[in-house]
Amino acid sequence: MSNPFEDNDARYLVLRNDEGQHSLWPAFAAVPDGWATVHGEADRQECLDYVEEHWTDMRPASLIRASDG
Amino acid sequence: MSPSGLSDILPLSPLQEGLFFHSLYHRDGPDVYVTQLVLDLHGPLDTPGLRRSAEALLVRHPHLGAAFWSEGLDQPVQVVPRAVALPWTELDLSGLPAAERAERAAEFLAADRARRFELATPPLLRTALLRLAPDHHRLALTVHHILLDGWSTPVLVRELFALYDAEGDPAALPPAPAYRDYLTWVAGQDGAAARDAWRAELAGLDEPTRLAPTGAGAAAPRVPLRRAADLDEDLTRALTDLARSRGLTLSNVLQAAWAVLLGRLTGRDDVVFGTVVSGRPAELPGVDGMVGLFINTVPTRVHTAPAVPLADIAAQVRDRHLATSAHHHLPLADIQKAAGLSELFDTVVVFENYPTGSGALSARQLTVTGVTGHDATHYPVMLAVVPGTRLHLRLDHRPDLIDDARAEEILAGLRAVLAAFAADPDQATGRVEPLPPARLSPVLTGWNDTGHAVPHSTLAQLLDASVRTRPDRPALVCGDEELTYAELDARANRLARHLIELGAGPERIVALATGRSVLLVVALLAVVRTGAAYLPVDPGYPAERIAHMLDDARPALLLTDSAALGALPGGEWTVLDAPALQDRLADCSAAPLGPAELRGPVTGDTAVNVVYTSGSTGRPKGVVGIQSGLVNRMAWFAELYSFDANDPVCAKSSISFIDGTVEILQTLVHGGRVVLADAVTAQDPAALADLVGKSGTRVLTAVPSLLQSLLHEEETAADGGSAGGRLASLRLVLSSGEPMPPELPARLALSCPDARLINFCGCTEVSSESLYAVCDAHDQSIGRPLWNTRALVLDSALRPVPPGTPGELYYGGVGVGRGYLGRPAATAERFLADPCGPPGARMYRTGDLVKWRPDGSLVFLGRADDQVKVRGVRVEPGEVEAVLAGHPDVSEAAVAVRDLPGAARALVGYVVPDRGGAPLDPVALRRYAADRLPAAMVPGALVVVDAIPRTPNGKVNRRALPAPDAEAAGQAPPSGPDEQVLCDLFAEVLGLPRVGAQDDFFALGGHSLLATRLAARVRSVLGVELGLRALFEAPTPAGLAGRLGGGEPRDAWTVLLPLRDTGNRPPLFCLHPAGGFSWCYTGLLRHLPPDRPVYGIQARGLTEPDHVEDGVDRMADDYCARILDVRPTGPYHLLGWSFGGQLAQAVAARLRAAGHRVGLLALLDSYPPEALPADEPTDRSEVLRFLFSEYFGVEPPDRAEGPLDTARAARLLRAAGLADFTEDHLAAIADILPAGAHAARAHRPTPYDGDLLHFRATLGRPEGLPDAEAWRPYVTGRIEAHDIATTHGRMTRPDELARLGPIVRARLDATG
Repeated sequence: MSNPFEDNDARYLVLRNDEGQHSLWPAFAAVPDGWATVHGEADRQECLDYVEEHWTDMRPASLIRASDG
Repeated sequence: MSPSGLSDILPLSPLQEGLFFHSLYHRDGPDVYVTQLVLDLHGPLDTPGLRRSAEALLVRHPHLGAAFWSEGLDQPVQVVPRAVALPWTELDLSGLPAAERAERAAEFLAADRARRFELATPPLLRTALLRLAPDHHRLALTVHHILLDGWSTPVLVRELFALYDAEGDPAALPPAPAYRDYLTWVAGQDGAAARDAWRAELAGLDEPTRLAPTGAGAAAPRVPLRRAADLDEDLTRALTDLARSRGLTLSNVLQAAWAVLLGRLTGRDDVVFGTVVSGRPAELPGVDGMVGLFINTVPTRVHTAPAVPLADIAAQVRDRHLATSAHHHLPLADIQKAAGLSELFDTVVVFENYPTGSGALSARQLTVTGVTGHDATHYPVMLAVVPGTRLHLRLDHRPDLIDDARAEEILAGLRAVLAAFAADPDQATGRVEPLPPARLSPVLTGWNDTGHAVPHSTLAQLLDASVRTRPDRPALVCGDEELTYAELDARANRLARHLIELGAGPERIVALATGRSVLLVVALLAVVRTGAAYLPVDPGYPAERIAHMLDDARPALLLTDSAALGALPGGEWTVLDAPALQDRLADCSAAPLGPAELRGPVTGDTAVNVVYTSGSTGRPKGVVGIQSGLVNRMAWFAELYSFDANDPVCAKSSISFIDGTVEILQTLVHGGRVVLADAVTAQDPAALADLVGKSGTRVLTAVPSLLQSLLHEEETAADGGSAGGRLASLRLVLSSGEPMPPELPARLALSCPDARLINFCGCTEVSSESLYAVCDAHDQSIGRPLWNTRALVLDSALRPVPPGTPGELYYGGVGVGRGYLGRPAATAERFLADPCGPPGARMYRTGDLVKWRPDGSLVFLGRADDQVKVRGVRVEPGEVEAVLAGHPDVSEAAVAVRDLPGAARALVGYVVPDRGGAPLDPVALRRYAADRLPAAMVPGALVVVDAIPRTPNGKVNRRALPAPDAEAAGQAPPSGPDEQVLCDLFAEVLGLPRVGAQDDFFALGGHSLLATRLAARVRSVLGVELGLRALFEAPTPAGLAGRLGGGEPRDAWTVLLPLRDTGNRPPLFCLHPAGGFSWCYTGLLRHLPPDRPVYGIQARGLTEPDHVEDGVDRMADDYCARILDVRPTGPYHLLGWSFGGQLAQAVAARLRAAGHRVGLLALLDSYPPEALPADEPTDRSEVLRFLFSEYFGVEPPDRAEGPLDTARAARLLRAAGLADFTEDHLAAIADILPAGAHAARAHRPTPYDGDLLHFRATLGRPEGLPDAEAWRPYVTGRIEAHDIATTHGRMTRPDELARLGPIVRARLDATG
């Protein structure tokens, strides 16, 4: 069984939840509740590059609010 | 049947071969390949005419009368008799009441099906005519499947009626096309091309696709049960239209649907099932009118990757079918062989597109109103698809392997997939769900119903509450120091205030790199109090790795102590025991910290720690754990264990691992007493066992390999009768990180009768543990999820798999950490959207392959990636490879874990030398790796290779890496008794069958835990204190042997050979057998307690070439004198094997005559002169051969290879790893041996007034040879006789000594 997150030839999405957390996601699979597509579909590396560029503060959004507010 | 009675001898068709061998294998019980065709006939019947017609069929198709022979033949054949009488039974049931009639008819037919055919005895068919009413008959044709296939039956039925119409006249039909034409055609096919084609088609398959449990195929076949379903007309039409519009056949669609279903049920996305092909070659004239067995079962392989649209799967099935159709004639056994697997599938699909219609058949007012067929296969599941306006699906399943419920699930699942094909053929395969929701509810909710209220506290609040509850109880014991909760709290609070001043606070990282002292615990608590995340650093790690961690994490503060500082890389370290800091802390308040004192709020999402783990890309990565995860883990622990009694908990895990700090914090949260093991104790099982015993520790965390070492310590100590019971205080043993060896729970129960053994499974990314299992010997599960944790087992389409199906393990719930520090992309590919959890939830992908058991616990099956565990430590081979490849002389490196024969798992590095670089020195390279990697990640062995094998897509092909084969490595035999003992002990400790004298302990999988065990064994077996340093400096038996004598090499050939010269009890003297040397007794040391010295007595001729051995009496006098030299007073203990037994008896008699006490006289397969056979060899060659068989217990070299000289004998002994003798030594032995044998027979023993302990070898000797009673004339006391089931020559081999050694020991102990 190949893992659906490890296929360099497959198409992927980048999902984000309300806490600003990002997840790689195979394009064929249904997007789970509470997550929105913010990038893709695209190839795997492009999706990971997107995450690297856009997920700059890895603290959950609610913690950022609690700390900064 | 005589040959003259044969009309033809034919080869077998492909499937006939398969069926023939199947029937040979399964000779008992019902034969599932007995088929039955039943025709219901209405109208007036001409019974003789019908019988003639049936007989005419046999004339038309003579091969229907064939028998199958194989005896005395290379290949089985079918033999066709000239004439065969058709068995014909008539049964009149017309007089019975209707209900009874039907019942009797059914009974008769069932009984007929159950009657086996004997394939060698023709004919393999029979007919029965049941008369149900004057105008209603039932004709049953029962045939072995080997004669006919389903496509043949319409031909037969049609012909039967044509013949009946002609009143049974065979001339009414044109001659039938001959079956042998087909067999000729098959024989003419290109078998090699077919094998190549199938090899290519099935390349890369590593296991069969099975619905039934593994190994089920071996069970005797059972008559299957049948379950059927019709698709409705709309769905049938939709599928037909789909097939037509996409250039597919309906069969392609059905097979694709079966593949998709199989993938879902087996968790695979590369599936294989059997397809029954008609096997009738279109190019063969008249083939459609032939009768016989043409069909074949061939594999259909389908890739069902979840992203691929359904219609593309069907197209794939079509293309593969076309590509292989020219090779459908190859027998399945040959296809399996080409694929390299003994089994490919256990399900078969047959598309029955042959005409079965009966309405058209009538002749002479007789009409066929019904045709029913009974046939079956031995496969656990067979799907038959019959086209029609309503597609008919028939599932035959073996009830012992696939029960009714499962069969229904399979049929319903197939309908669901077919409906998906009809609804949207372009949807991704992974979106199709063939399973009903109820099937998945246990794995989604039932077994994951772990919700449990946990206080919304921070870790600091839990600790505060614990201090308030029990301020005066002991909290920490470290060496002689002991602190109460209040004292520890005060110190932690003072330090916390100071750390806050220095900048510690929420979402900041504080590195903690102190030794294992009170300071470690104080600092850990202080950092937690500040709300910062602690970054634990074991100061014993290589400085380079610590530097990398600090560079990566960029901690706000670096804490250490003065002892550890020297080993740490440069940086702004705060030295916690510096006097200036102590003064500063004295000014800080010891009161609990208020929230306002912190630099920011702490919530459940706040980072609590950063713990580094091995990283696959070559750099370790920091896992950020969160408060709520650790709090949940701690809260749950209270359910597992209650610390009410302030129980001592031994904390010994390196703080570099998540366990190291969790075992401290968890104990303090729950009111236990931390017994902190220092770094040395933590590494040494003996010291650790002492600490556990001394502190009365109740809870201990230990990976299975450490637990084994601890138990071994305890078991051997208890054997020696010295300590014992050190582990008896344990109540709870927590294990994790490695598979639990099945014998461990029972072993633990012996040493720790009150201890529960819990196996944890989890990882740093999910706050350490997620699963727990109570271990016992029969339960190899890795457990079930703990509070607020969900275990998800998903397939490659991210669907939960049903129980029993392999999938990949993901963890959801509150334990899921934040991610990898500073690595968003690495985090996003491992910490994922959870498709089964609450909205927005995340799950962590572990890479573990597991399956659910029906009881809701999980079983570990392996890894989906390269990650390995070595002694509980998670290792990414990529990280080790990156380090090895970083060496200037290495161009490429790969790492794999290898199970050395029967034994220790070791990390093995494979390196390719740089072209033009210096020759690689594995020792230097290991040192290089050890400077950069934690000990557990340093390869135990390094193998220099020319190239790293790679898979077609460029990945390291770890399977193709050679195993560092201990045998092939040319194991050097021991060249002396010390080396022999050390080789044995290395093998024992490493769990290897054998170790050579030059083999490196660490290269064979040894590590520091095993090294301490080895040192303990050397101490007790050889009585020599072996420093661990000596082992690290000279890690081979030969090297260590050189250090046993304090640097002086010990003479292995001297007359009085000290095998173990330490200990204060009366020694055991072992007298040499005829060959003159006494190394054979080294194996005895392991069975005698360490305080018993053991000496070998060897022949003087070994060292004095001119010495002549002249008689047992003279030798005994000589040996007596040597014994009295070393031990002037008794009691004396004597033992001898073979000729050595005579010597021992003679020495014993002399000692007694001189008035000494003799404690033990033990003889190993030794007899007085008159009982000896008179066939000892005399010439050199035979003497040397005798040495092989009678001394080493192995087959001597073949005489056909010519006479044996000392040079060849020495070489053979070395090559066999038996002994490293020089030619001179062998020559001496070869001289001594016949002299000894002669002396043995010439000797006249004098009686010895004492007891005798005798061991007799019972194998390999002719009847009537003597037993211990032969000694009766020469022994006045009791004779105690034991039989050992072995040969004379093997009497001193390890297995044999293991049996007789304990008896010798017991008698020795009894005499003093």
